[in-house]
Amino acid sequence: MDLKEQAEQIMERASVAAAVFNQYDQAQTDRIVEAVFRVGFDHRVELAQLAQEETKLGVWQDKVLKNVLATQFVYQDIKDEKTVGVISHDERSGITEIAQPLGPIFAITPVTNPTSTCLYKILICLKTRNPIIISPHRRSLKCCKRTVELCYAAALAADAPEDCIQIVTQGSRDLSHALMAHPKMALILATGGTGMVTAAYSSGTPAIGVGPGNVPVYIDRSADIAFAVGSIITSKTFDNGTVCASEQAVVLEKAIAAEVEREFEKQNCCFLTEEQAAKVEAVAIDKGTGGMSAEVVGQSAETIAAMAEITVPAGTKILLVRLTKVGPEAPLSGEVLAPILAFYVEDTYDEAVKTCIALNYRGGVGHTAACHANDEQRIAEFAEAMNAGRVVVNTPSSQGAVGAFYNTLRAALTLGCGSGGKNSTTENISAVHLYNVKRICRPRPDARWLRMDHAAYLDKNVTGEALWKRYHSNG
Amino acid sequence: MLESTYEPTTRTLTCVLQGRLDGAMSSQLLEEIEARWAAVPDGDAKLVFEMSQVSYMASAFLRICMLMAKRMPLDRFSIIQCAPLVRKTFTMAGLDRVMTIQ
Repeated sequence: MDLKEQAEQIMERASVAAAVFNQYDQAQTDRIVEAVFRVGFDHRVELAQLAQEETKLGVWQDKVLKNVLATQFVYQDIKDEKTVGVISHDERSGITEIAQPLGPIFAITPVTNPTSTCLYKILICLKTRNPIIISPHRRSLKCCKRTVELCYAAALAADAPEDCIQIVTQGSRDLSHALMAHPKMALILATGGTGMVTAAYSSGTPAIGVGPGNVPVYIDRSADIAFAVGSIITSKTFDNGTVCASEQAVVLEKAIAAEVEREFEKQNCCFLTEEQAAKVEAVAIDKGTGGMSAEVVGQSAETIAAMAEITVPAGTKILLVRLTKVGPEAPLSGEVLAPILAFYVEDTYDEAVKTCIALNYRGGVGHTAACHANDEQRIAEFAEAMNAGRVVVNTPSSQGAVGAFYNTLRAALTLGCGSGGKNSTTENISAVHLYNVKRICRPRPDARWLRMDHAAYLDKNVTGEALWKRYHSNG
Repeated sequence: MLESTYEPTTRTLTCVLQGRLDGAMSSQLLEEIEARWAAVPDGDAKLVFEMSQVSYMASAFLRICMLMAKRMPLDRFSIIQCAPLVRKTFTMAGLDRVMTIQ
């Protein structure tokens, strides 16, 4: 069977599933979502271990937490939402809003968060009655297939439409491209590398794509330094730094540099010498692309140190590299999904913020920025300076950006990056983004418009100002 | 579960379907339809599904429709008297392009 035939078969099944799903009411839909949540939550440990074993990335215990986010917290977030039929009615405006499914959704899942992203996308698609076709990264086929098998069986047992969940485990990028460009595909939820996200946007099908971030974390003089450093370590070591919202560079003023450095060292992080930094850069950066090397993604600090043939103290959590420049001339100023942190010390607050802006615009526009401060004005100024969908404050950025654990952002593993990331939203993506809203619009005529002399609008001698005044007058 | 009549003058087997055609119901339906179709004396008879009393169709029933449509020419298999939302389901599934649906 050629690629076109394969794509047609997958889409025919998805279209039938979409048609059948469209007949379901809210209660039927919610039963399916609950059944899938329960099976995913029950298998959180098995799926996390499977993901770590297969991909050799990250820490399985942290992947359990990712699965918890994708099930317990996503379900908690969406379970009571109206996503079927009438979702609101306002008698005053005469508007009734009705949710309509989008249709088949193509979901690209990354190697860094394979099972959690599958669970999360399956739940939000089923909640909105959209069939989902999952395209896992080639290095995570087995764990994603197991996730889909569990979820699909649970969904069918709860009377879900056949083929409401499909997975593309064979074939190639060409099949993915054919599916993304298929006229019946309604939306692409693309989480992954730049190549797939770009392909999703180029397909002609609407897409919500999340690519790389480059998160600066600013530590202000007003911050609790020990707490800030602890938070950054908690975040940057989480699943060995595989979350795209993890901090990539620490920026601070000279006045607090010594204290921050002492605190990082006290908490088992290691500042590299220039020579060591060069060796780490050699293994962490792909010379061909100038971006991060796949070899170091999701590896521990000690493993990376061994790869770079440098010696660091036993138990080192993060490798810190002192940098003064941002850009291609300082490759480690870009995103590296591993426990390697750039470290910038600036003379003044303004210089520190300017460095954060430069980092933000080096591949992370629209994604996430972080700051530690207890001065509200500084927090506001920093937030104003960043082009980010989320500015997380006094929080580990990885766990903060994905919502639920530390704040009231929606629980999500796909983080909207606004126009900077070529997205239509900066929100954390959830069920609310996966349905069309149809509006019944009953007559509620504008009384002021009715009493206007409409002929006056055709008279070129009547000024706009006069019309505006007349429209707004009480008489 | 399934009422059917065979009209010799028009050589048409009409199956009247009712209620929710879910997965379990559909597999039984297929057996019954096959049995009644096998009993039709004319080799080139027509098959009609009358669906005015159907409120829901599972994927399994849509597959039965596709199976019938593949077996016989377009003018010998038709689906009639669908309620509007049932008709919408056929349209969304793309089946209105491969079979006659009224």
